[in-house]
Amino acid sequence: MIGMASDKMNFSDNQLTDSGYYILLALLEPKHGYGVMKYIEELTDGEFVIGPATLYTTLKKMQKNDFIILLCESEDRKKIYKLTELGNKVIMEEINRRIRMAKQGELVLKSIGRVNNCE
Amino acid sequence: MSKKRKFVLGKGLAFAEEKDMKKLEDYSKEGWHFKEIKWGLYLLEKGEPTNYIYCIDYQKLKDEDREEYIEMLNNGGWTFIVNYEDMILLRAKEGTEKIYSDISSRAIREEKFGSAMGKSALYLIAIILLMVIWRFTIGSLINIAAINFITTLITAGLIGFTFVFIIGYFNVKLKANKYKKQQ
Repeated sequence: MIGMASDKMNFSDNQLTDSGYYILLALLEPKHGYGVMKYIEELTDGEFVIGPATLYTTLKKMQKNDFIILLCESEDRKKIYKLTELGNKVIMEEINRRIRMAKQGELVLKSIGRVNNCE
Repeated sequence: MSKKRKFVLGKGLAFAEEKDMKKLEDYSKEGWHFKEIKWGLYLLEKGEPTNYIYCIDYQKLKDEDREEYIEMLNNGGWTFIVNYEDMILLRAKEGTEKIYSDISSRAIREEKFGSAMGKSALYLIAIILLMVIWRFTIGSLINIAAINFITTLITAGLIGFTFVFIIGYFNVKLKANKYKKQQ
């Protein structure tokens, strides 16, 4: 098993969905909901688009799971989210897990002598 | 000047949500746009023919969440039309990306749909119980045949409706499980 933090939560066995992954990535710096959406779009060059209800639902669930909390409301009364300590731990481990997964993919391609055309 | 309006009958959101949404889309192409649900019917208003798509979301919207939710929707190209408790009707221009972009969040939506229906079923059952109690207490004291007949009729109707409703409820539950398994 590739290790993930296991205390407390049941966020799909604590492995992040792609949406969850990008949302936490975006929240490494505090943002409001709309900011998260825009950030993900820019980061992935529009390759990963998150649906508004998926964003809203996932943010709610992550609040419940203690991955994120509300920073006080900003002057325009918009809610700002930031990572908790747990959320920070989860995203750091998830980044590393995904790096390992990508490297394993490359390793397999190399071992059977196939070139990765996507690079 | 008031706009032209008309009512259309849906197939029932628990059984044929997609079909009902498709129906609203077809009406919009002819210029009849969904405005609200009234007495269990879709109320449409005449406007310009537009290629709209419709969908339904289920969210517990507290007052402080509402603005944020609507803003996210607008940024995704969707317009909030109306909500009935947790059930929210949305509209967008044709070609707009769906409001749910992954299965796990969509599964949560199906669960909320199920619990919203469960809540409505409880209300219905409470009303039926009240009617039955009325029938056998006050109803038997007053004992006017016409009133008794009408209460019996309404109760029977409600029981039938609740029965259909509960079948719908399990139909939705089944769908929620299907999404869960796909994860």
